[in-house]
Amino acid sequence: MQTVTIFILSAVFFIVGSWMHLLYRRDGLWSPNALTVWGLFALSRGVVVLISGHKEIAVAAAFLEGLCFLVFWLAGYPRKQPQIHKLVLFLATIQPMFLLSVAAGVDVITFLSLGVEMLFFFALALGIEKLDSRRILRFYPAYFSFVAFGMIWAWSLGPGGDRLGQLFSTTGKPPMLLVLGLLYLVVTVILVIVTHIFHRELNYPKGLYDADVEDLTVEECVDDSFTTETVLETETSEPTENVEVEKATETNKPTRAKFGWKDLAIMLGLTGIFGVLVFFGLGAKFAPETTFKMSQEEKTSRLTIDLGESTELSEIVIFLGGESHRTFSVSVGEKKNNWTVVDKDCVVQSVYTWNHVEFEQTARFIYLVSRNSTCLINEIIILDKDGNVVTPVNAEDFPELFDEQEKYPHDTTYYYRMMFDEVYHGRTGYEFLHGIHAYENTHPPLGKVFISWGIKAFGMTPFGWRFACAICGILMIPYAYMFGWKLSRKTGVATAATLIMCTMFMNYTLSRIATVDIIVALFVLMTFYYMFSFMLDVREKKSFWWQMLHLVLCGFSVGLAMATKWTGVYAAAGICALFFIILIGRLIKEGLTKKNVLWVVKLFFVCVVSFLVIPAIIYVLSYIPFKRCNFPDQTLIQVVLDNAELMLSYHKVTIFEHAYSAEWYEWLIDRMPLLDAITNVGMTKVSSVSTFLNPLLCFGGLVALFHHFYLWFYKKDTEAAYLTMFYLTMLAPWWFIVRTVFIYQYMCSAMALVFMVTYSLTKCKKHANRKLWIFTILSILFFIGFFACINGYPISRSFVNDVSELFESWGFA
Amino acid sequence: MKGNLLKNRILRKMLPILVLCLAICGSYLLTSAMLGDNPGKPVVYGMAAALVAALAMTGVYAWKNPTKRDNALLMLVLFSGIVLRIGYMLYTPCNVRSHDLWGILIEEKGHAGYLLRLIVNGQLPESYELQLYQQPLFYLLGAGVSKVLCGILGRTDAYALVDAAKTVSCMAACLTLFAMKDICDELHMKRRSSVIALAVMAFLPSAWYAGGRIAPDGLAAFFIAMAFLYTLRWYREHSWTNTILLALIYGLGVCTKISVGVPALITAAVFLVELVKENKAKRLGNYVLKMLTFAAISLPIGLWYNFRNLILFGQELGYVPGQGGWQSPLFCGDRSVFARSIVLDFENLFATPYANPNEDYNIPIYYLKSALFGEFTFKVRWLLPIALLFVAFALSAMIVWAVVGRLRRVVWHPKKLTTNSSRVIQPLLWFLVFYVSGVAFANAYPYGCSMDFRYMIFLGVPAGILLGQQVETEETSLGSRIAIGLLLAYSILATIWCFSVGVIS
Repeated sequence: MQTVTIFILSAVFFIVGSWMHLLYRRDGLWSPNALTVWGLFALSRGVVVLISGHKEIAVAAAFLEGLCFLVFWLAGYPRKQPQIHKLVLFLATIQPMFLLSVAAGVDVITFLSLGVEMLFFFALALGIEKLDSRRILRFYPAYFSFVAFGMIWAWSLGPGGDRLGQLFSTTGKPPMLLVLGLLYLVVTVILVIVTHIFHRELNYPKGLYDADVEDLTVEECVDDSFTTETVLETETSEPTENVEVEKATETNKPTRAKFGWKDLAIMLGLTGIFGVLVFFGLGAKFAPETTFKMSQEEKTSRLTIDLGESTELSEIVIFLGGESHRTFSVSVGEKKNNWTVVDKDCVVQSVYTWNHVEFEQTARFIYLVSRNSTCLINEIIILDKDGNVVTPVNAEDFPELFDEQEKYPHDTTYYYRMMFDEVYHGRTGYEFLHGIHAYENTHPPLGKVFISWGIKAFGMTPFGWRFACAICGILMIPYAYMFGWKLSRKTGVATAATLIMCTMFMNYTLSRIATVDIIVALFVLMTFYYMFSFMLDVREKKSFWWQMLHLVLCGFSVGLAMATKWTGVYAAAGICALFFIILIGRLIKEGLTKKNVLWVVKLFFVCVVSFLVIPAIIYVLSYIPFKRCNFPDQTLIQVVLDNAELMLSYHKVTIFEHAYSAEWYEWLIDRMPLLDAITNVGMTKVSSVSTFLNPLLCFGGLVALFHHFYLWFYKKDTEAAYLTMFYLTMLAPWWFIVRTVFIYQYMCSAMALVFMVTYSLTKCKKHANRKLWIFTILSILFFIGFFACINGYPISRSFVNDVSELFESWGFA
Repeated sequence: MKGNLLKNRILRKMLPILVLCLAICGSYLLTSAMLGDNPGKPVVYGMAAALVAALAMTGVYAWKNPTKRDNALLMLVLFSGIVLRIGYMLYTPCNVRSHDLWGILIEEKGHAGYLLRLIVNGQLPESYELQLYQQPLFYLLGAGVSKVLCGILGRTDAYALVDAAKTVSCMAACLTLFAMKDICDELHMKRRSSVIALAVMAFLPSAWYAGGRIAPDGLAAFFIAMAFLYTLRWYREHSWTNTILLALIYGLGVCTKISVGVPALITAAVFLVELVKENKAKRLGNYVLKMLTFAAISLPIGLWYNFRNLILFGQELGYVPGQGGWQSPLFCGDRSVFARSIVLDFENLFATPYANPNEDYNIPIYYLKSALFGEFTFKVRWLLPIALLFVAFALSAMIVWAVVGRLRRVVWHPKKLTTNSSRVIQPLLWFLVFYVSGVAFANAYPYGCSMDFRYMIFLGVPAGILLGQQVETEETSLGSRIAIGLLLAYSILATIWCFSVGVIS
């Protein structure tokens, strides 16, 4: 996984870097400024070192490379031509060969490639300076083709497992990538020859050979005849004589729109609609709740069930209580104590779920023996050959087992039972409520505390354990609206963003499952929303009280997020970086005035309280129920620290096979939806609940991401920078995590995609509004089309197979 | 004078066909007589020599007559396509890389059995089981040619009788190229863009495979190409000659394979457009007469065999033999329409260059693979087929670029279309209708074998034409240069491929 991650990141880095380079060339620059180049170098090498499984080689190689670059930088002749120097360093930084050789982890290859890289780029720099640079710089297309060849062969001969000899073999595994790489090499050679023969001259805007020029801006290199004024024409009824021309300059900005009643109405309306959809078929409001305890110690581990007469049976259905994976020995007989063992290791898996045990036997008596020390059963249903419920004649001997027979639903869709990780979180919520030793301890407890509130209100029923998550999912909608509004200050755009959020698929499904992911997603969204609000406060020079308010709310959100799931720590790191960027940005712009220094000091205190004190208090306090249940004799702080250590060690080593696991790069293309629940309903229908992203948002979001790179690096767009940081800070940590992961862990990053898509579409030059609404409507149509796959509503299996399963890896039926 | 012009025109058309016929039959007789049934390497050497000579002659001619360079290139491409088709036919025995040929026995119900019934007994099949349901024209022509050729060779064994019939497929494959050249002329394409168009089809491996096979696929592709040509001609001038010829083409085409009738939708649309025009011009009577004549010629010729089978055996019209349902190893209907038809299965593309009808399900990738290698695997060093696959994939992307470019002209910039809009719209229509019908068929019969490109060979014709037209429109653009470069690489690799297959045969 690490190797794949490094390959993907290197490729993306190279593509984006090359694209930036071409854009710079088009506008007369040749590379970003020196700070950016060194920053990119440090970031790229640092990330690879952290991800790489061969840390020693990676560190040594990165250090050596940095040293070489530094020597190159400090050497004499670059002073005469700084642009060439930066150009060469930029090309050296973005090219991926060194990074890939580090990924391969072989010393010789790594240092060899480092040597080749240094030689190549020194030669390039010398060549540009000494020789006819037009010849050398003409070969850029060939250079890019050559790098593509290198990358493909590096993968093919490395992780791909190909050998050069396979090219000339007629059997065995076809060396597809080797040949593809070879074709790129041929293209490289052809490009070199063609370029040499046809002598295409490059345009050389000023700057490359100017000794006095250090760092150019776009404006300095752009043609002077182009003005920065925008001219608007308005047509009147007599266009030939009375055309009025209005000039809008940068100083005449429109007044900021305010959040009004219309916005509030739309926001609440959309929240209400989403709420209705979330609550539609959320879960049954009933489930067996009385519990019978089978205990070896209390000598209640054996049950004799008397059906009254010999009956042909088909199934026994057991609704387990709060202990999963229970083993029974099952015997039958026509007379008591005259048993025939049917299955001595009958395993019943899931808690708060109707577990079906096939039981095609004819008998009057059934003898159940629990093989575990304790076993909690909420209800037993015995079905005859026709599927009818058979109530034992001695039901009164075990009232808790046979007192809620009418609650058996006959179909066991998600509606009536726990699905996926509800068996951990929902169960733990119940345990918190009743002071039982909590089973789930691999995430902080706050999310499960919320779940327990829903159980307290509505009982240990599917509706009850999902209620809190439903509320959290619904609460994301107003935040989405407010965020969209703050991005654009337009009602239409905010509405579109909210509709896209509503039709994201993943948030809808996660709102209907009692796991903590939607809860942390809500808090992460709040975190970034409040930090964005702070950024706008700084930009618009709002009063310090507003800034403080937003920082405190941000800190509060971060605390809630971290106390729910450690994914909140990524959000904390992200907003920390953003905070300092905002701070430094303002100080650079306005300078270190007395006013600004005072402002920084005040901010310091506010931040300490907001981001240290408040989150710490929330985090520690969230452990109270956990301490009460599991460690009543220990101090709260000790419980927190011990659990943190346990969680850290657990998440480091949790690697297991799972049919629906997906690596981070598979999330980006929606490759593996997570099937939370699937039940056949009759012969032709299926009920399935799946977690995945709306494919339109998934792929549109990737396009928007690249557009945001462009807006950020090239257009210096602050909002684009913010959203990109939001996305990357929630995604990047997963590059380093080796445990088994699933697509729902993409939820927090995917939220950023919603705003990125919206923002990108508003930045279109032509028909921005129309494009935004076309995207929104398509998103709604996709939501409608896939509603049954995310809601669990029974639908025709053939429709799902033929239409819904867009990709080979998708399986909903 | 008029008589002389007509005579010259007929001669100009018939002479190349006659020469071609002599070349095919003559080479078949020579190789059968001198080299036996497995003439592999000598044929390849002969092909190589012919191509090198043609290349050299073209080079010299183009150097001496720079203004006629494009004409020379066109002839070279045409000649190369013919050489490859004839060469493949000569070095491939009829029972190698065949489809549904089955046993070469008269009792069998494959293509061989069908042929032998006609050659030996002089009778049409006695049932419609398995391949005996097929339309008879290919088998009738094959039987006739086989009798002549085997009579000359003095061979009466079943293998020889069946093998000789592949000359009909070869002839059809070669004539398709001639038809395509005429289509390019009809569309007033420049010589250079005609070269591009023809190169796509000339070097299409699936077309040679069909040309060396005992099956009606090659002949069906020829008739569809002729239908395309004559629909264009009829639209330009709906004379009685064109009407009757078009009717004959459709009749004979449907008599070869029922699916030849699918593009009649486009011809019908053209008829409709003209009907409106003629109605406005108050010439409806004459027009209706022509339509009735068209129907009176094409329908009986095309459907007589269907009605014969309907009466004799109860075979329904449009009958397609079953493939075994979901239990068949070829069944791939358990994937969604989207996964099969819209998305490209890159995992499959990068797995192997060869198609596997038992496992593959993605139609576009299967088309690509089977267009190059059929449903077969070859013991050729991996480098060549994989390189050919990727270059063909890139070329297919350029064809998509061309289709989108032409669509833009029609849909987004209709005002830029001139009065000769038919030259832009018709190739587009033929491509889209044929492609969509193929995909629809593959979804309606979701089996691996339904996706084989042998049913879609004609697609190379409009695809090449669209690429040529787009390159002509965007002469200096990067896309045009890439397309030409890819085509050159594709031509070279395909030619080497043909030689390699011959060497291993």
